[in-house]
Amino acid sequence: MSGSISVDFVGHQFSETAEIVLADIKISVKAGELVSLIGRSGCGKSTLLHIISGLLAPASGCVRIDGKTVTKPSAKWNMMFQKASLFPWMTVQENVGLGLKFAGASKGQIAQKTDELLELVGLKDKAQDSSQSLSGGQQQRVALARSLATSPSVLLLDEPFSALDTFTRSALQQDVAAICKQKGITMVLVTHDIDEAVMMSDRVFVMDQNPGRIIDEIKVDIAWPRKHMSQNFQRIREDLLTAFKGTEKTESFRSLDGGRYTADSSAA
Amino acid sequence: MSQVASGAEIVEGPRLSARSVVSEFLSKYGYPLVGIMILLAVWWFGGWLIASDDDLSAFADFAPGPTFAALIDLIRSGDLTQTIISSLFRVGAGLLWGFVIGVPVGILIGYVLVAMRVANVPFQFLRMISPLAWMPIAVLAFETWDSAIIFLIVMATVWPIMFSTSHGVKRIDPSWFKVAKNLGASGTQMVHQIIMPAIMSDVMAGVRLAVGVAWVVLVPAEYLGVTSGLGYAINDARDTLAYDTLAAIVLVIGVIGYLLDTVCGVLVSRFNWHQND
Ligand SMILES: Nc1ncnc2c1ncn2[C@@H]1O[C@H](COP(=O)(O)OP(=O)(O)O)[C@@H](O)[C@H]1O
Ligand SMILES: [Mg+2]
Repeated sequence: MSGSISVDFVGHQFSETAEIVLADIKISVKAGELVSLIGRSGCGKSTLLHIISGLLAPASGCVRIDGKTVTKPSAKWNMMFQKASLFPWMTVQENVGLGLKFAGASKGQIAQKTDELLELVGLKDKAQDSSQSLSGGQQQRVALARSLATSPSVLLLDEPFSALDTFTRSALQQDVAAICKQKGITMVLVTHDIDEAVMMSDRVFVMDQNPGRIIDEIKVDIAWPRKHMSQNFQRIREDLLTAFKGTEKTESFRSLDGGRYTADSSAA
Repeated sequence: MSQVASGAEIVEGPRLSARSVVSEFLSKYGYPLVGIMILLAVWWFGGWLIASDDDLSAFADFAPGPTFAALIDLIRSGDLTQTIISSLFRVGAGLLWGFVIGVPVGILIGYVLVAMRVANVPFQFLRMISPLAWMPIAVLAFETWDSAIIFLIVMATVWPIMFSTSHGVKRIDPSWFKVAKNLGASGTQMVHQIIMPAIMSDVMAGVRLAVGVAWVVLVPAEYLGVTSGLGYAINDARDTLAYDTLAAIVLVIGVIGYLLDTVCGVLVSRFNWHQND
């Protein structure tokens, strides 16, 4: 199985004079493992994910995937964002097949793979629809299928569910975790939602800011598929909340999901 | 419009649906038809005024009757086709060059902030100069009249195409670049699969503006030395006092301009993926 990630002493500043965004980040993720990075807004989670993906070069240190240093983006490790960012002039199917088209796959191969993936994310009947006609959750499912089309060994998720309503989010959380487990894909999820982190990962890294760094690491040893209100779930959530009490609170945390547990409610 | 109509159909039954079909027909053909009738009436009335004034009666051939008669003669003789082709060729060539220059430069100034800053003042300055003001320079710089006219049309078309293109590039969602790069897009794939389709409707909107300006500039430009084209035909008709022919050509210019704009409009919506415009 491929898709092991090692982040070796990555540090980052956006310019020589700017503040240090990330300091000496060291993480290693086993192939097929599901991990989350959790921390307050602005602590550098997105920056770290961009560095892992190769979309951003780190100021110091390096990232290795399967032992090879990451120097540029690759369809073997795909990133998903809060916005689905589908291409509005393409149909759902064309969106999903884009990575394969870039790679020079034949029409037949593309059709077969996109059918299979749209089936997987439950949108087979929407294949020929305009991507603009879909709901937020459906768009994010298409983005997921698009990321999976190039058979990546790693999925990097930057708060991809935070703009969705609770039900849609919950369904997608379970589906994404299940798909990664089933296909042996390594997942790195960035979130500020503690429940989401517990729900979807084998391990959670807690980040603090100024400078952005890992301050704690909590193993989530709960059997799959997970249920929200199990005792183990509550226990690990408490552990994470305790870890958060230690983090510096310099700004109020925007709670996007009104009322559910987030990093913010820990300090309140 | 049609969605509203079909919605009413479900609720109100077939009676309303018949009425909505009528109202749809009216709004599609009825109103434009009324507009055309009014224009014809004004034209006819103007012709009647001129004819009934002794000082002006020499110009009576401007009226609709003689004009349409002259138009039929023009079409029958085959001269008109040649005249139109000459003019369309010049506009087409001018547009092509405007496109070939305007789109890449538009992409550049839309994409590279520094290029925008550098180019902004000179381009806004050049844009405000009437293309016809270049006429003496064009005549000096180009050997043939045709190329001089095409140059004037380029000076008219390049700006709208360039500015619409750069506007389109600025509207590109930056996350599309990230996603495409991540999915393995090469430089040329990025241009062909992402940038071009993303900006095409804006580019076409620029082409539509350009066609409008080009068509307006064409006629005075063809007053220059050439011996073909619609502008020449107007001049020629004036010199020979053939006012019915002159009016017929004015009519042709209007109709062709309208058709060109309609085609461009269709192309704009063909490439448009924006939901709200
Ligand atoms: N492109 C950039 N240029 C300069 N500063 C940036 C840029 N992107 C992010 N930052 C800064 O880096 C810090 C971390 O940002 P980010 O990684 O987006 O945090 P998070 O995803 O945890 O909310 C913030 O202080 C932010 O202002
Ligand atoms: Mg972020």
